Amino acid sequence: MDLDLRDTLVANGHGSANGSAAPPVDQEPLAWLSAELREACAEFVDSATGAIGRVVGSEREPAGSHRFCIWADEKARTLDVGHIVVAFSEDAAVIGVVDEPRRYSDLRSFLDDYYDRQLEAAISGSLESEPPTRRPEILVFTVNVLATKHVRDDVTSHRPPVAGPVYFATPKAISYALGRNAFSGVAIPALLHTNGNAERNPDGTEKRDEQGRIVFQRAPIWLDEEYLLGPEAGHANWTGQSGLATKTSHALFLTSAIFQQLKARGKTVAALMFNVKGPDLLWLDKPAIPEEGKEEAYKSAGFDGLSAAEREAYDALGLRPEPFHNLRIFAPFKPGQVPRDSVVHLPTIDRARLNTLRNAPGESQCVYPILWDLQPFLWRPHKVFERDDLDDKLFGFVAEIRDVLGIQTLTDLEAVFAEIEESFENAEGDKDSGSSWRGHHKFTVRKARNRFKNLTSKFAGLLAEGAVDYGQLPRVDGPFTDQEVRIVDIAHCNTNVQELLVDAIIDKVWKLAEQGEKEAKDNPGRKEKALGVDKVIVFVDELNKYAPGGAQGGLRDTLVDIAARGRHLNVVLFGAQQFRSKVESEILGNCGTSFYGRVGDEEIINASYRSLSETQKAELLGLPKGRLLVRHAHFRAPLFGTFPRPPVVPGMVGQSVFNDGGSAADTHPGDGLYDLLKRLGCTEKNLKSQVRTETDGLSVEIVARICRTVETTVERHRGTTAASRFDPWTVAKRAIADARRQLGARH
Amino acid sequence: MSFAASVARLHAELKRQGIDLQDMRAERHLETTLVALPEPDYEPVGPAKGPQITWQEPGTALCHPVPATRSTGFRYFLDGTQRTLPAFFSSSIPIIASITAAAVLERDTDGNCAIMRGMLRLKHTWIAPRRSGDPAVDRFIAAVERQGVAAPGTPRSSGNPLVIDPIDPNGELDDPEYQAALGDFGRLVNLSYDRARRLRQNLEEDLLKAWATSTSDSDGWIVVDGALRNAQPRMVGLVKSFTRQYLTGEAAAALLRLPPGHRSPAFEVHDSRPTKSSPGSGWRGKPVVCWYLRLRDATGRDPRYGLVRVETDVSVRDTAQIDELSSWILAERIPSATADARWATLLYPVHYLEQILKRSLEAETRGWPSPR
Repeated sequence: MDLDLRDTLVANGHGSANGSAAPPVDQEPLAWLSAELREACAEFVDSATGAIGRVVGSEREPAGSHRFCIWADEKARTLDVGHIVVAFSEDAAVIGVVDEPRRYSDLRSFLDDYYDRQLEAAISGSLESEPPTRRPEILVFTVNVLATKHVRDDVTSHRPPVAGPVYFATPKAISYALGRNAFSGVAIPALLHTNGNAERNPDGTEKRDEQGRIVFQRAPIWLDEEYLLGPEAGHANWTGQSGLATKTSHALFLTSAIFQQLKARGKTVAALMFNVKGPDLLWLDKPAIPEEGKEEAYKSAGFDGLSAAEREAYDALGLRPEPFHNLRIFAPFKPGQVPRDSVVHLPTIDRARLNTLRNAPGESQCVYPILWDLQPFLWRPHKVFERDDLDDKLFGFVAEIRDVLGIQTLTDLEAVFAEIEESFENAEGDKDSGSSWRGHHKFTVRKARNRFKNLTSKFAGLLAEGAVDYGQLPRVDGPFTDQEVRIVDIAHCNTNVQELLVDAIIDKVWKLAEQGEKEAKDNPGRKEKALGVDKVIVFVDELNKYAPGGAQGGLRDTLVDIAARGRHLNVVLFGAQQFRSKVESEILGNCGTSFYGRVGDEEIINASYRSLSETQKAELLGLPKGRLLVRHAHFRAPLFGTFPRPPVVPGMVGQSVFNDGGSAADTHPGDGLYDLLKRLGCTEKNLKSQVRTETDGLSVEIVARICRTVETTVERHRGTTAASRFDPWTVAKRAIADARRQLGARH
Repeated sequence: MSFAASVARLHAELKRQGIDLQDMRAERHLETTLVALPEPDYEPVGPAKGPQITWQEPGTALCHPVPATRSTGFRYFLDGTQRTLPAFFSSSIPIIASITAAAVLERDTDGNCAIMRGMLRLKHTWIAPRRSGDPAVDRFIAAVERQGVAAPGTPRSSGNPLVIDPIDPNGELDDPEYQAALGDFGRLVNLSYDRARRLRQNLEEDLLKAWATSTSDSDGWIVVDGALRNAQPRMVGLVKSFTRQYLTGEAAAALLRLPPGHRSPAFEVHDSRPTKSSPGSGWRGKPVVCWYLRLRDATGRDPRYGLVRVETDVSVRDTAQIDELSSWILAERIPSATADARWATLLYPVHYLEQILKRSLEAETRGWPSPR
């Protein structure tokens, strides 16, 4: 009864004779599975690559329904943490993500190897020489289960995989494991997952790159729109170190993906963001791939555009690397530049007065002013006055002038103060009327006058003395338009203005959303949306500043409210911060999707990260740019993925190329005007050469003034019947002629 | 189906047929209970009568240093293992199950080891007296030979009986002598154990022959774990523990004082005396050339610690070649198999092979009732 045991050993889970070499010998792919299971799951398994290891369970570490162990075949050199693999239970495929690698050998102690080395050193004198026999080592990975697929559609299997071969998962398996088959909303590609197996050509051979290396299989990591933007779940959060975690880059990338995917399905969406640093978010309408003629300028600014690999990544994700076409930037005025008119007509103001770095001629068409009269300040006394100043007496006085007197402007208020002062003077000696006005003590009134007097400098650039007329201009807190990216540029404002604007704008958008819900309830058939779009994304960076854990009041309450109810009201919060542990837990708890970039070692020991494995934490400590860990409502385990740079030019590059004239030698002072005319819809033939000819010899400053004239004229007539009569190119030519006339007169 | 499951099924079937066999499968296997039994080259206590030896290296010192080298010509390693399981008994007749496994391990130039294809053997055998006169035992033997155990459907090899007799495997004993041996249960168990060991040795011998015919001189040497019974070229037997003393007098004294990395001079042994386990013939088919080699420092320990006896066929006579073979063995000292208590003399590839064979036996006996 002799028999060759080789296959028996394999079938019993002992692997190959050396514990490492050959995977199980399958004559046909998956021949060991039942026909039913093979039919149901054959497409989940990369059978061309074959088995890459085997499921292993021991008394100490049995295979479980959420986690099991595999040992890796020595030939499966590409298998690594984060890869997705497929094993099988009796009637189901078990798909999981690889984690926690450990290498086992039969060494009982480190000293055993040391003593071996002493013996070897005595012979060869070298630590590098190898003994004749390699001590076998096996590489064991933990696999966190993402999903199971039972042969029956109506059964969800929780049975752990049996001891048997493990395979790389195909894109189809990955898509299934990420729950895409159960998505109720639009699928949004958020990251690109790279597996350890090779992409295959149609003839079944491995794909190779130009250097002859294997091209690894890639598959999008999908997010469910209804779990990202509501109503099922909502919100996204990014955490990681500043500058290293690429939080904003990925937020922009994801926003672009959302815009593209929703547009394709006929849904409307907009985003609200705050630019807090330099020109970071000011050039989102400029492509990362340079337009014709801009290549040199991009290069001179140190940016080569998207690499071929990044463009391929966009292809693999089914996205186009396009910039945001509907960008609106809102900025308050520069300090000291607020017109002192009794009524400030914003459509006619010179945009060079606005406190934003995007101010080049022809590039400020999408920049709009923010200017408040006094009234919005009166509604936010806690934000306007110092905590120690705002006692009940001052609060009462503010309420009086706001609610009873209906004061709208600082000019009106000053008139009231003058009136009060006069009444005090007239009533001098009268014990009652001489010391108070409408029940407010003289000292309280004088304190109030003093504090209000300082408001124009405290909120420099935001507060007008007189009334403000927006005309037809869009408002920073007004309804959105489809695909709009609304940037509030507060980078160069003082802290008071920054905090007040963030607080007030988000609050207003939230109120619009609440109003929209009320209107929808009152009038279910109403098509008009208070928000103007189906979904609004509010991106707040430095969330730990605006919604710190344990604090109360201000923006924190609004953000908590958005996190709790926003998904039903079509407003979702995209938050980012360096320290997740410092953010209000209610916000994080309501967040259906979380991204983790590189995290510092002091931060990662906090409880916010306890659900991650030690390997994942260690990986996060040194995560390269462009790689993130994602958790999503549909995923049973977090996944690593990569993403290409956003489809827009980096802020600094945009600033250099489009605002500061770039450093390319072939730019012409008239090019800014040409860009502006193009955006205003001019379709004149040879427009660029015409503009260059017309503006030849004019300085950059004069062309800038011409651009502003064109912008102002067009803006003034926007929405009026006269608008159609204005041809921007004609307006420009007239302005050029005026400029030349003035120049001639001067000479 | 594993061997254990097949046996359980056979037992149930016999029970249905009214064959009353007492179960003793919950007993530990004999390798754990009869470890004190001597090895095949055991010699009963008495006046030391070593076999005839002939020195091969005239002029070589009794303590000869082996030149250090890192190269090795060993490419193959052979080892076998066995599990002898008390299964049933009827009246005072034990029925013992034996599973033996042996394999040749092949090492590539990178130091990776794998079982040589087609060189892994497993054998299931029942050990029970055929002339006991016990109807239950007879019907058991008949049932086994009729349907086979433990791998139903596996073609039976005509050369390998399913049942062997522990008392008279070759059918040579007279009936009275046979019947006298039957009465002692303990002796029958011991004899069965000896038979099982012989089965393992035979399995190893068969495998070694198969290896010799499937390889050529250019393929390298094989290390056999244990003594060489039929030495052939390119074979080295490595005896880790020995009770038979080949050297006496000054040579024996020098042997016990060998420093690490030293060897004794080689000598030829004509060791064909009958032993208890091989009463009919010499336990070696051919003479061998032997020498002793100290692998590890035995300071403060039993003088046999780290000492091995190396055996080759008689074509190895040249001192340079003996030195080279010795240096190959010394090079095998690392990695050390410290997971095994015998690591001082156990070559790592042999340990590796033992682990594989042990797992195969565990797989075969999975489901066998555990000792209580």
